[in-house]
Parts: sequence; structure tokens; C-alpha cells
Amino acid sequence: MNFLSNRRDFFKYTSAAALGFKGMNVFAADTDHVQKPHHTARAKSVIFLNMRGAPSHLDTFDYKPDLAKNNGKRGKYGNNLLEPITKFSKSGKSGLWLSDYFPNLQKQADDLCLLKGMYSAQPNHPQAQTLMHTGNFQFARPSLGAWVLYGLGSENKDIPGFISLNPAPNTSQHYGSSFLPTEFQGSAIGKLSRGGGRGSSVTSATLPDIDNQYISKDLQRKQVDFVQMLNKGKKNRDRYSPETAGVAESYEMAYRMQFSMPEIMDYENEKSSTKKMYGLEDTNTAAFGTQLLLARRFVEAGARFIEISQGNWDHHFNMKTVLPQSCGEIDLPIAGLLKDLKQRGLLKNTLVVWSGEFGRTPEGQGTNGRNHNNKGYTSWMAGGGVKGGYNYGSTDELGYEAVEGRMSTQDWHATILHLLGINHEKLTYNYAGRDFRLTDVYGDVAKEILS
Amino acid sequence: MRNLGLALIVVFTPMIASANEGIVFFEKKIRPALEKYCYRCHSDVEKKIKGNLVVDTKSGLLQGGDSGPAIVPGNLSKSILWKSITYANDMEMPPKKQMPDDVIADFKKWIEMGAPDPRVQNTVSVKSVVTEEDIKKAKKEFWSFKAPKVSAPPIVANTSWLKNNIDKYVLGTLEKKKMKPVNDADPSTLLRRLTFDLIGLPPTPAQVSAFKDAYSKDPDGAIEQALSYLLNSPHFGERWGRHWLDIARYAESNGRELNSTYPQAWRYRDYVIKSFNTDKPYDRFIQEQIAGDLLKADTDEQWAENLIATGFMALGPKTLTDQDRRQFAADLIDEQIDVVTKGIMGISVACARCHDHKFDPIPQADYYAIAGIFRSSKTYYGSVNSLQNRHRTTLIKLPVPDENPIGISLKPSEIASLKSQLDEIQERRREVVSKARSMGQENRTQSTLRDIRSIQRQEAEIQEKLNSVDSQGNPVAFCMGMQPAKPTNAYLFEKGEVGKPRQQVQRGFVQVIGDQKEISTNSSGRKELAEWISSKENPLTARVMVNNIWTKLIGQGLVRTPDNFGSTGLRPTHPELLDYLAVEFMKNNWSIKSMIRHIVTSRTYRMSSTFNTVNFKIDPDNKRLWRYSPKRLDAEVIRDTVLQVSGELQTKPVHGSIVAEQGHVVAGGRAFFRASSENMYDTVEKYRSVYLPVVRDLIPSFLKAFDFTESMIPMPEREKNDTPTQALFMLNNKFIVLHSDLMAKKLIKENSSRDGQIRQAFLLCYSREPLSSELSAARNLYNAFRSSKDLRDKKSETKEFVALSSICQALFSSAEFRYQN
Repeated sequence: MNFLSNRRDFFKYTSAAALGFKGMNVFAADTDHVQKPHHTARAKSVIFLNMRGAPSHLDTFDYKPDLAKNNGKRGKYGNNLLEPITKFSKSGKSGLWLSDYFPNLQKQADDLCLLKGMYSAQPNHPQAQTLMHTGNFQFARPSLGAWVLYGLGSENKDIPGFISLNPAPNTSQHYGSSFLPTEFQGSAIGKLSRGGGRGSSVTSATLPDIDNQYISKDLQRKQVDFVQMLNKGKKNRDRYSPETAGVAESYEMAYRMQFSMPEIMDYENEKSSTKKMYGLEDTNTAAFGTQLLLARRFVEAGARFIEISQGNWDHHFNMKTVLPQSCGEIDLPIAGLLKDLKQRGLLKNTLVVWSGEFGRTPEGQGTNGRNHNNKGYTSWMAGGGVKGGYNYGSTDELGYEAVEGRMSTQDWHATILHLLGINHEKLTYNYAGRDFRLTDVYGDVAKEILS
Repeated sequence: MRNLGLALIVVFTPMIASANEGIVFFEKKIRPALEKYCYRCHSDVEKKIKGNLVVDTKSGLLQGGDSGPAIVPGNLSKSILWKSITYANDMEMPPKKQMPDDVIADFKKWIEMGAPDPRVQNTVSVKSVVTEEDIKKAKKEFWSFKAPKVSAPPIVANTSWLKNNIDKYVLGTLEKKKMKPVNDADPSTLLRRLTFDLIGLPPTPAQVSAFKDAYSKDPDGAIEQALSYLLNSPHFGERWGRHWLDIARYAESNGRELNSTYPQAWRYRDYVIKSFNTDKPYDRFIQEQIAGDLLKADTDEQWAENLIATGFMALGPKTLTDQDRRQFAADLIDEQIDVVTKGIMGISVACARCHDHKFDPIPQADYYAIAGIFRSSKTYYGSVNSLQNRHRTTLIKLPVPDENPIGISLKPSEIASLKSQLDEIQERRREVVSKARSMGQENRTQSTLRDIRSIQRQEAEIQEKLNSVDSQGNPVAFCMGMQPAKPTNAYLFEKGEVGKPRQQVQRGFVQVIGDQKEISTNSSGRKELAEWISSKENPLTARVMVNNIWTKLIGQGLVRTPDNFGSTGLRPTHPELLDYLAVEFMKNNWSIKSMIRHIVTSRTYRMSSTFNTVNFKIDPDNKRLWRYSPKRLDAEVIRDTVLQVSGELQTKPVHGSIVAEQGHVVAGGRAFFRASSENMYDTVEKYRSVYLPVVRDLIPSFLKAFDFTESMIPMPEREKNDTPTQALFMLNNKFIVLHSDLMAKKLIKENSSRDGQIRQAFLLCYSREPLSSELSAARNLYNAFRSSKDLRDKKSETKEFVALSSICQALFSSAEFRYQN
């Protein structure tokens, strides 16, 4: 029996036979938390860098010399074309063209796999963000991270397997589990202040109620033992009570998390050179860098999926001022993350994914901004089984639309799952009478990018 | 009949094909002018559609925008476009500079010659694959589209088991499967079940012991007595009203980006609670919520109540920052269709927004038939005065004065001062606007635009302050809701895209459900819709509601997908029972209290949750109801129980809400946090949870931890999870620690001995005495605290207090506290 049908049945009958007949013991260690993948996995964990607001592909990762040549000419939507607002340089051995707004990332060019043929079905931010996270903009569906955790389970039962650092307000769906059991939902750590971007920080953020200021851990353990004694009594009296088993297990996990989580989140002991690498010493980069450093620590601890988001990419106006700022906030930290993962031997099985919800128009909005463009944009991946220093797909010569190596949101999801060893067509969950998939009935794996 | 409309292929053909001359004139003069002067803000291609007007198609011009048709061919004075380009109305277009005189003259000539325009799409209307036959067939064959019908209950062998008709259906099924129901629950378990289910609080130890006594003499009489108390308790409405609020996706903010508060939402909450307490007939309850503004009212109070009821239509989540007004309008209606059809009828008509329903015989046109009804009304929800808010509305003024107003009163002098400020600022606005206009677009700077917007905002702020009081300066009461607008049909949007309007669809209902009625051209159809939904002929409404009531009481629905009675939903486990209950419900004047009474006086409800190996092997999911399934308490019940047993619960209903006191603000913004507390309010307030603020995405921490709804979609059934987050909450949260302490304090005051204190704690939390093993384990924990080196410096009184508090907290944390057997 392959693990999927096994898992599906497992949940279908949670309230019933499966748990009971499996003889699941409340107090026995849970041996079921690591799942076997469908095929050999290239990556074990994902760090997803979500660029909220849709960065301009034309000024970051999609080099368009023709756009520069045609600057000021009338574009097909009736506005004037706007040249890339900065220069691009050939970077690394691979010679990828990267914007000069990313001087540090340029040095890591040979790790990047640029996906230049991305397109999204949704032209508005909230819908496109939801689509990118859940594969569906209309209905509440499980998020990508929840599917991954559902598919692979957690490697470390002392911490949540799916973590969303500083999620933006009103985005709980983006790390929610919807109809998947809640054990797969993301744990939000810290909360982004409205507006996001600079100034928001996780340094003070912790999980709510992770610490008890009233009694010592020793006494608390005795208290928990008493709770478990009560639970065990109830379970024996009820004879069959998966609910009580669930409650009991939740206390054990919670108790352990009180030790594991603060330890992971306390990065003070990191070497100063490491902190510097992530940009922790510079106020411009500290907020984002801290989150990346935490992400690495969670990966080390065995978390499956970590999302970090960065806002303020919606550059309709004033792009020449704001875009370099936004790039400056992430450039050094991301380069640091890639270097650090590599030197620790983690990059080969950690997939780093960078993406916004769509791109921006080659035509200017005025002369200092760009409008939404969902027909073509760039996302990139690094590590975890993708080719480094590689271009995949392209937009037309001006950057309006994806023309080659086109990747829909579903293709992108399918590819991420594939790298994790999951066949997106087989990762299903039966809900309300039918089998649901993250990719619905779509999704092609971009095989060309696999290393 | 909508089907006829569907079959029709609407083809627009050029109006004056022979008048080549007109087309030539258009191409030469008018098209370039439209492109040059108008497309920038009024074109689908540009994706920028101000005032909902597009001028890049003929139909766009004829249909017009917010202000009505832009062009009436041949009639200059009725053509708004003409008035605008000649600067003869407020909408001076183009705004920066008038068109040259010769261009204006061209437009005059063109309109007078009948506005020939070749830009017609040979639009074929979207055809449906759902045929009339499909619909007829489903109506006749699919279980939930057929009218509920009572069939004779099965003959059962064990007649002594029966308490009422419900039991006949349940036992009949069990006997057929050779299963025996388990024994009755013991009286304290039963009373606990009744009290939690009906009022959301645990019974007091005194109630338990009185009930036990009465039950030993006359079980039915004891239950009857308890019921008459519980059904008449004001807490009944707080409990059952909250169930409805889940379906109504009740919240006090719009959610999504720019999460604006809805400071008047609580009026709807109180209306719901009151409706359940007074046992308002369910059909009437629905009519008020969908069309209260259109119902006859004998008194102003009744009128006010009816208006508040329509808040149901206005409370939904909204993307207030959406730049596209057509999209916003379509999404607003979509959300209303969803709550009305899925919430009340368990059928997801919203699935047919983009195409025919994939599984049920609901053609896309049915969706737009209802959309037309809501398009013929206006929704009022208020929301924050902010630059990013593009879809603010006013509110509905209540016809009765607010006896107990929330908000600020103004002195006459303050009103006068605000009025003069308003005059001043309006004057300033006029100046700045006319200056900006004379500058022309090229020279107009961002800062000029910002000035205008800032002045407009200040103006709106003052206006709002003035509007919030009457002429005497007393606060005026407003509510959210719906009001009639001009009756109009909706256009079907191909693939649900607002940029692709196709054929018009006559206002109407979902054809596969119940009887269809004509909607007259001068009626929006909303009242008719309310009547159609709440009609006894509607096969879904009563079934869905009795199933919801059943789910709350029995723990699982007869239909286990309570929001989906369509073909992808699950079939009823006891179809005859469901139909019997639905018919009974309607027969008893849609009385919810009677339905609850009927269910809880059955033997089925009285069964224990005892496990039985034989039955379990046959029916592990307890589909056949051989026992009572244990239930996880709702978040509110867990919190309210903690408050009750600690002696702190404030049982008086709360007037208004924290959100109401804040007024219109952005939730999560600084204003909101400053005025509330540093912590979430649920750890500070001691009133019942139903009165806690429900701000989307800022759900109170206690409620959130225990699976409170996100309030985005109708949720007849909540998720129930046991998570580490909950465990951390119970172990470490300030509120839990505080109330453990308060409970310990009370126990110490009321009992002198340690064992007495522990016993009382068990009685309060579990409605039972501790078992001897539990008592001894509790003593051990107590002693461990007393002798702990952590507390060695403390007085022995303190040690004992902390020890007892720790036991109370452990009881809160245990599975028995949150699971009801």
C-alpha cells in the first residue's frame, strides 16, 4: 500500500476504526511523523520568500535590452514603454543577467535558477497572492505548505513542521490547512505590522504562550503529569477515545515546544560573521535578514516549510526611489542565506524559492512606475535539486507575456512538490465527496530545471 | 421563463448598415476623439474604468456608467456624455481641459445622427449545457430537490425504548443492522449535556444534585423541568444565536486588505440573540434578514428591527481597496448569493458564477438571475474614512431613537463650530479643485492631488461627525443593511469576468429548487426571493435548518455535510427521519425551540456515550446512532465555563461592543489597539464570549485557539481540533492562570479542608466527585507544590493557594473539561 492511500484512509477514519484498531497508544511515541515520498526527493525542506506586491521582473531578473531600446515608444496598451530603471550585469560563471540592484546576489548567480516564463491567472494582489499560496483564489483551500507537510510529515516532532514568519495581516488562509487536518496548518510566528517592509521585525516575536512566568518547568511537568493522569483515566473509562488521545498528545508536544522553540529562535549565539552575512548589523537589512537566519535555524531543526514575506513591492509610483530600497533590503540577506546554507551543506536539500504574485508592465505608469502584469513575470529557485546559473523560459522581447517555458501557478506548485519527492497528481485528500489536489486538474513539472 | 432567454442568441448587428456615411464619420472623427480624450480612464483595454463607464464599445456607451447611459442616440439633452463634454454638468470631461470646439461639434453631429457606431461585438450569448430536461429530472429524482415527505416510521421490536417518533426511525435502522442502542446516560452527564447544549454553560453543583434527585423519581419529569428552565433562560439566545452567527459569517470588520471595523454590526448580533430567545418563527427570521426593509411594520420599533435584520446581507468580507468598481460590485453580490444559498439552503449557487454548476443542475444564468435581485438593491455597511477605501457607503438611520447610545453627543456650540469648519473646508476644496483643473494634467503635481484628497477626507470626517448626531446633538442610531434601488437585471458575465458582459438575465430564482415565481418588472424581487426561500414549498430550507439543529445537539448531522445538500454532499444517514423533522418543523410554525425540545426529549438524545465493541465493529462512525457521540465544546463554551467555575462570569448581556466604542477605524491599526488593551480583550473581559468583538483576522486569542470560525463564509459546523497551541494556552496563558487563581481563592474561602477544596473543584469542573485515584493524584500534586524548593520562601498559605490553583488549571486543561460525554 503506498503511503498516500494509507494516509488518506488514516484521516478519513480518524473518528473511527483506524486509530482504534491501529492500537495507537496515547502515551507511546508517535512513529508516524515522517512519511515516505513518491520518488527520490531532491529537497527536504522549502524556504519560500514571498515578495508581496509583485516586484517588477523587468528591473530585477528579466533582462530586456529591447525595452531599453524602445524607451518612450507607445506600447500596445497605449502607454509609453519604460526602460529598465537600472543596469543589468552578466553574473557568475553562468553569466546570468541580474539587475545591479542585487550586487550581492549577483555573486550567487550560479546558484539561481530563473523561471522567466511565469504567469498568473489573477491580476489583483489579494487574489493572486491567494492563488499563489493555495492554487485557488476563490475558495478556501489548503496552502502549499500545508500540502507539503501533509505529504511528507514532520521530521521533528518537537516543533511545528510549517512555519510562517511574520505573515501579513489577513492572510491566515496563506498558511491555513483549510480542509486538511489542522496539524498541517502553518504556525504563525510574529506578526507583520501593517505596511510591512522596513521596521517590522521578528526579533521580539515569539509563539504566544510559549513561556510560563509563574511556575518552574519542574513543577509544570508535575502538573502536566497530573493532567495526563486525568486524561488516561478518562480514556480508560471511555474505552475508545481518539479525542482524549489527541488532547494528551497535544500536551506532550506543547511541553516539548517550550524548550525547542525558544532555543531555535534565540540566535544570539550565532557567530558575528554569520550575523553580518545576513545583514543583521545594518538597519536596512536587519529585519529581513533576521527572518532568513531564523529560517535556516528552523531548517536545521527539521522544519519542512518556512515562509517569509516582504511587502512594499507594489511600485505604481516612485519606483526609482522605492524599488532600489526594496531590493537593498533583501539583496545581502538572501545572498547570505544561500552562502550559509551552502557552507553548511544544507543547500543541496533545501529549496529556496523567491516569488511575487505577478510582475509589472513594460509600459510605464507615468515615467516612474509600472502597473500590474500577470501575463509574465519571474520567480526563481535555488538549491534542492534545481540547476544553478540557469535560465528557464522567457517573456517576449519587451516583457509583456511569458512565451517560452511558460509556467502557471499550478506548474510551479507541481514542480516544487516534485522536488520534494511528491507526485502532485497523487497527493490527494478526500473532502466533501471528492479527491482534492493542490494543482486541481492542472500542473506540469518543469523537468528541464531539475539538476 | 429563463430558459427561453437562454436559448435566444442575441446578436448585435450594426444599427444602420446602409448608413455607411455615419460609420465613416465615426471612424474619421469620433473614434480618434474617444481614443484621445476618453480611453485613458474609460476603457476595458486600459483596465481603468472610472465611474464604471467604458467607451470603447457601443454597448459600453449605451449602457453607460454610474450616472446612467452616456448616450441616447438622437437625443442630445438626454446624453450625459454631451453634457459632460460641454461642461454643462458636474462631470466636466475630460477633466483637465475641454475638447476643442470643432471636436465638440463633431460629437453633437454624431449624437444627432443617431450615434452610429460600428464597434459592436457580434456577441453570442453564453449557452448553458444544463437543459430544462436536466432540471426537471433532478427535481423529480434528486433527494434534496424533492419536497420532504413523511413516511410511516418503521415498526420496531423494542417499543419500551421509544420516547418519541424520532426514536422509531433511529431504532428501526439499528434493528435492521442487528445493533442495540447503549444504555441511557447517567443523570449528571445528561444534565451537563442539556445545559451545555442549550445555554452553553455547565450546570452548578446544586443543579446537578437537584436534578439527580428528581431524575431518580421521574426521569421524564426531571428533564421537562430542566428544559423549561433552560429554554426560557436568556442564555439560550446567546448560545443558539451564536450558532446562527456562524452561518451568517458575522463579524465586526470587513477583513481582507484594509480591515475596517463595522461599529454597528453588534445590533445585528443582538437582533439574532433576541430572535432566538423569543423563538421567532424561522421562516419569518429569514424573511427579515433578506428583505426586512421591504416588510410591513406596524411600529417604528418593528421597522427598526427589520432594518437591523438586513445587516445579514451587509456583514460579509469585502475588498475595500479594489480599484475596479464593477469587480467590487460583482464580488459583493457573489458573497451575498453565497451566504443566502449555501448558508440557508445548503446549496452552493455561487459555484455557477463562472460557468454552469459542475455537479448540480444549476445553469450559470440562475446565478445571474439572483445577482439581478441583489443588483436591484443597495448594501450599506459604512467602513472607514480612508484614502485607500474606495467603496465606503453611508449607513441606514434607524427610525427610533437610541435609548442607550454609544458614541459622542455634541453640544450646540460644537455643532455650530463643526458647521462653520465644514463651510470653510468646502470653500477651500472648491478653490483647490478649480485651480487644479486650470493647471491641466501635465502641470498638475502629485502634491496638488494629495491636497485635494486630504481636503476631501477632512470634509468627510467633519460631515461624519455632524451626521452622527441629531439636531439636538444626541447620537443618532445607525445600522448596516439593505435598501431597495432601481430594479434592474444582471448581465451574465462570461467566465465570471466583469469585463465580459453577455446576455441579460431576467431576475429569478434557482430553477431546480422549489416553485418559481414571476418577479414583476417594478420589483427588485428581493422580497419574493425571501418568500421563495422561506416557503414550505422550498425543499431545502427546512431540511437544512433541522439538520443544523440536529448537528448541534447530536454532534453529527443527519447530513454530514451541513453546507452541502447537493450532489457532491453526503446523503442523509436517516432520510426518513430528516424529512419527518423538516415537516414537523414547518408544521410547528418553524419553531426552533419546539424542534430542540422534540430532539432532546428523545431516547436518542438520552443515550450514553458508552463504547460497545459489537456495535463499533459494524458501525465505527456511529452513523446509525447506537450511542451518543462525545462532543468537543465550542470555544465560547470553554471560555465561559472557565469564567463560571472561577466565579467571575458576568452574566449580564453587553450593550454594544468594543468595536462599537471605537467607531470606524482600521482594525489592527494603532487606533484599534490603543483603545483596547495591550492584550487581547478576551483575557480581560469577563462577559460571555458571544459579546467579544469579532474582528476578522483579529479573533480573540482564546476563541481562535479553540477553533472559532474565521467568519469569512457560512460555517454551520466548526472544525474541532486538539492542538499544541491550545495546550500552550491552557498551560501558560495569563487568563487561564488568573482564573485558576480566582477559582482557588474561592475554593479556599468556601471549604476549610484540602480534600473539600479538591472535591468542590471536581464538582464545579466535571459535575462529579473525584475518583479515589484522582483525589490521591491531586493530593500528590498539591504536596509536590507545597514542598517544592521553588516556593520555599513563601508562606504556607501562599504555597497551598498556588498548589490548589495548579489543580484547578490542570482540570481546565484536561480532556474531560472540553469534551462532553
